[in-house]
Amino acid sequence: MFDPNKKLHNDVPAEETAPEKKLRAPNRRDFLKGMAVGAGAVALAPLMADQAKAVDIDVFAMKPSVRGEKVVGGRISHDPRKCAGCRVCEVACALKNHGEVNPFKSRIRIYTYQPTVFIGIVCQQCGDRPCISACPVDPDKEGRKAIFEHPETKALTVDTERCENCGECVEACNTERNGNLRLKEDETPDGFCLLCGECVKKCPQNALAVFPRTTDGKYASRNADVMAKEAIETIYGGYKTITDNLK
Amino acid sequence: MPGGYVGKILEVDLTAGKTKTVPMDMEEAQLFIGGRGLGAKWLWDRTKPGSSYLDPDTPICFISGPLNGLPAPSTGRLTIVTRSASTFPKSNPNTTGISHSSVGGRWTPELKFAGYDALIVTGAASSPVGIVIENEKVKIVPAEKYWGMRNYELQVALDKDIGQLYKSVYIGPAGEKLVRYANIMTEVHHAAGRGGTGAVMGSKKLKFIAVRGTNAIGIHDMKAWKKADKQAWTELLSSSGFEEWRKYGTAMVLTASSDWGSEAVYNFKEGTYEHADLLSAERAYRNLWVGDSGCYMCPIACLNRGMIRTGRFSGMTHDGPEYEGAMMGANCGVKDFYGWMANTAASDDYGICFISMGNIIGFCMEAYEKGIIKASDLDGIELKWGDVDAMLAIQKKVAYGEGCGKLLGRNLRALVDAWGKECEHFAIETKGQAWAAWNTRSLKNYETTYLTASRGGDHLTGSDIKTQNARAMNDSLGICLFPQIVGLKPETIKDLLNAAAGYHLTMDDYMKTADRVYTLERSFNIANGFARADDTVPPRMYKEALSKGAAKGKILKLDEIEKLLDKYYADRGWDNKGNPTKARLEELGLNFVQA
Repeated sequence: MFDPNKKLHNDVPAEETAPEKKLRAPNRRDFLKGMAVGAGAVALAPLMADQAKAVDIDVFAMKPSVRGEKVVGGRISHDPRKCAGCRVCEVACALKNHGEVNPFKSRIRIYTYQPTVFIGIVCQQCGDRPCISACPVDPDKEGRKAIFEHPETKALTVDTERCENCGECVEACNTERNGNLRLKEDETPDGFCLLCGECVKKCPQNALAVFPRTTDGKYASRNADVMAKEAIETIYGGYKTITDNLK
Repeated sequence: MPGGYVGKILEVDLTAGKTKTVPMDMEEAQLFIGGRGLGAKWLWDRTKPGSSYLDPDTPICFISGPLNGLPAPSTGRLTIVTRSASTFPKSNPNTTGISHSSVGGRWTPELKFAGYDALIVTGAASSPVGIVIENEKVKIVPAEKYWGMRNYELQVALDKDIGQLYKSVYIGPAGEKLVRYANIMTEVHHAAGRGGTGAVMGSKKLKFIAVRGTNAIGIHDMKAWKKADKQAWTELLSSSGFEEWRKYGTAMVLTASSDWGSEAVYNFKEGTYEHADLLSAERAYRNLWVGDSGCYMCPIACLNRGMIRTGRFSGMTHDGPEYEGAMMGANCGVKDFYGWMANTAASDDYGICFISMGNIIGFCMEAYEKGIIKASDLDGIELKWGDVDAMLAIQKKVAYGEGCGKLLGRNLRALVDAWGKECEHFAIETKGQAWAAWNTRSLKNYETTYLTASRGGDHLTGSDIKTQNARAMNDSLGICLFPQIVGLKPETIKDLLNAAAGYHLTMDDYMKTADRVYTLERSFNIANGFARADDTVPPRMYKEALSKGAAKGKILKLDEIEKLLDKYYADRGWDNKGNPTKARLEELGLNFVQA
C-alpha cells in the first residue's frame, strides 16, 4: 500500500547554490613549460596552491537544471557527440543512490561502440509508460500499481513490497524501449532513474541534460545498438574500420 | 579489506590451463602500493636473473592500484609489468630489463569490480587462447577465431561475442609475431605502448583478456575521502591549461616543442621542424576531430575522435594526432597530414608502438638517404623521408613478420649489427629502447629521463628525482599522469590514497615509497646485468649540434652527462657505479636485494 507520507529513497534534499566560479585566464606558457620539462607539477605547484585556495567552491554545482532544485517531470538525456565515456555519471549515481562505488548499481549505463562513440542508457520516463501498462498489480486507491510515478518528481518508481516479481515491466522495457530496466537478484526490477540530477551535475563534458519528458519513448528510448548506429552515421558518416584503406 | 584494494589476485597458468585466486599480501601492498610498485616486487620474486622475456615462466602482471575505480579524477590506469622485450644490458644481450607500461581506458576498474587487484599470467598456451573473467567465474577460452585479427576488428568481434559490458585488453598481429615493440591495447586506441609487452603476451599465445565485474570497491574513510576528492576535482578543473588539454590533448605541444627545439625531427637530427604547422593540433582540430574521448573518471578526455573525410584515406577513423605521433611525423620528415594519420591509425590497428616504429623508420630513412642501405634491403621499398606509403608498407611487413619486417621488428641494435657500426651515431636509443618524441640538447637536463629510466629510452619517467617519484606513485596507484601536469598536486593524491586505503602516509613516506619502487626496479636491472655503462645517450646527442631553430648550436657534453649521473646516483642514495648501496637498501626495506 503506497503511503504518501513514507519518505522515499529518492527524495532529494535541496542543494545549496554555489558562488560564481572565477578562473584565471589560461596561461599557455606556464602549462607548456611544465609539460616539457617534466617538473611541471613541482614548478607550477606554488601557482596552483594559490589558485586552489582562492577557489573554494563546488565546481560541480554549475548546471542550471539541477542547481538548488529537484528535477520535476523531465528525463535525463545523453549526448553521444559530447560523451567521452568517463563513467563519472555511473559512479556518481551508484554512490549517491546506493552508497557504493559500483557502476553495476547505477541507473545510467554507458556502452562503448566502435568507431569510438559512447551511448548512455537511462530511463527516459516514457510518457506512455509501457512498463506501468505491463504491471499486473491492481491499482490502489491512488491509482498506483507496483510501479508508478513519484508524486513529486514524476520519476518512475517501484514499491518493492507490492511488486510481484513477475518481470513484465523489465520485459516491456527490453522489447519495446531501451532495456534500461533489469531484474536484481531478488527478482525486483532495477534501473529506475530517480531524477536526482547527480549525473547531470557531475558530468565533466556537459553530455547529460534534463530534457522535457516525451509523449512516448519511441525515439528517446531506443536501444543502444540503434542509437549507436545513428550516432556513428551522423558523427563519422557510417561504419568504417580504421584500416579499410590499407589492404 | 579496509578500502582501495579489493584483496585478491587472480593467477592464471596457461601451461597447465589453470586459474586460481590468492589473497593479496597486504603488508607487501603497504610497502609497494600497487601497479608499478607491486609489479617490481613480483618480477623480482618470480623471475630468474638472466632469463628471457620469451621464457614461459616469465610472468606478465596486469596490476591495478588502490585508487583504480574510485571516484577521484582519472583513476582508470592499468600498469603492466613484465620483462622488457626491448632493453638489453651490454654485458648480456640475451636477457632484458624490467618493463612497466601503463594504459588508460576502462579495463582496470572493471578488474577491481570483478574482485581482483591484479592478474598474473604465467606459462604459455599451446594454441591461441583468451581469458574471460566475470566476477569469480574465470575461463580460459579458445581464441583461434581471433588470432590474426587486427585490433579494430578484434574489439568489434569481442563486443559481439563476449558482450558489450566486458572490457578487453589484447594484442594485434604484431604481438602475435613477437615484434619487440608490440603493444597491448584496449578499445582500439589506448595503448600500453613501451617495452614490447605485446610480445610477451604473444609468446604466451594469449590474444585477449576480457573482464566484467559487478562488485563494489570500498573506501576506508569516507569523510577524509570526500574532502580530498573535492580538493582533487577543484585543483584539476580550476587550473589554467585544463581547457586546452581537453580541447587538443597532447597534440597541443607539437608546434611548441618544435619552437623550443625539442621535437624529434629527421631522426632526432634536428629539434625544430620546418613543417610543424602542417602537422599541428590546430589543423587537426579544424579538419579531423569530431569529438573528445577519454578514460575512466577523467574530465580531461585528452583523446580526440577523428575521421579523415577527404583524399585517398577518406573514411578512416582514428584518435590522433597525439604529441608522440611526431615520431611518425616530423621524425620521419612527413608533410602529408592525412598520410601521417593513416600511419598512426595503422600502428594502432596492428598493435605496434608507434613511438618505437617511428624511431626505427626514421633511422631507416637516414640509413637509406646515406646509402648505407638500399631498397633491396627493404624488399624493394624506397624509404625516402616523408614517404607515407613506404611507411605503411614497412609497418605491414613489421606487423606480420614478413621479409625485412623480421629484422625491423627487432630493435635498433639489431639494425646497427646488420648494417654497420657507422649507424650507431644515429641509433637513438638507451639500453636498446627507442627514444620518444622529446629530443635533447635544447631543454636543460631533459636527458635525465632517458638516461635513468628503468625501462630504457623513456620520456615519461621524469627529469628530476621529485618528478620521477611522483610519477612512480601515479603508476603504482592507478591514477593518470596528466591531471598532475594540469594542477592536481601529489599531496592531494597522497590524501586520496590515505583516505581510500586507511594508510597514514606523510609526503616523506609517499616519496620514500616511490624511492623504494624506483630502487627495486634499478636492482632488478642490475641483477640482470645492467650497469652504469648502460645509462647512455646516443652519439648524435654529444657529437652533433642542432643546426636550426631556437636551440641552434646546442649539444650535450659527455663530461656533463657523467657529472649529471654522479649527482643523480648520489641523490638516489646509490654508489658511483649506480648500484643501490646496502645502507640505502636497508633504509628502504629492500633487504632482500643482495647489495
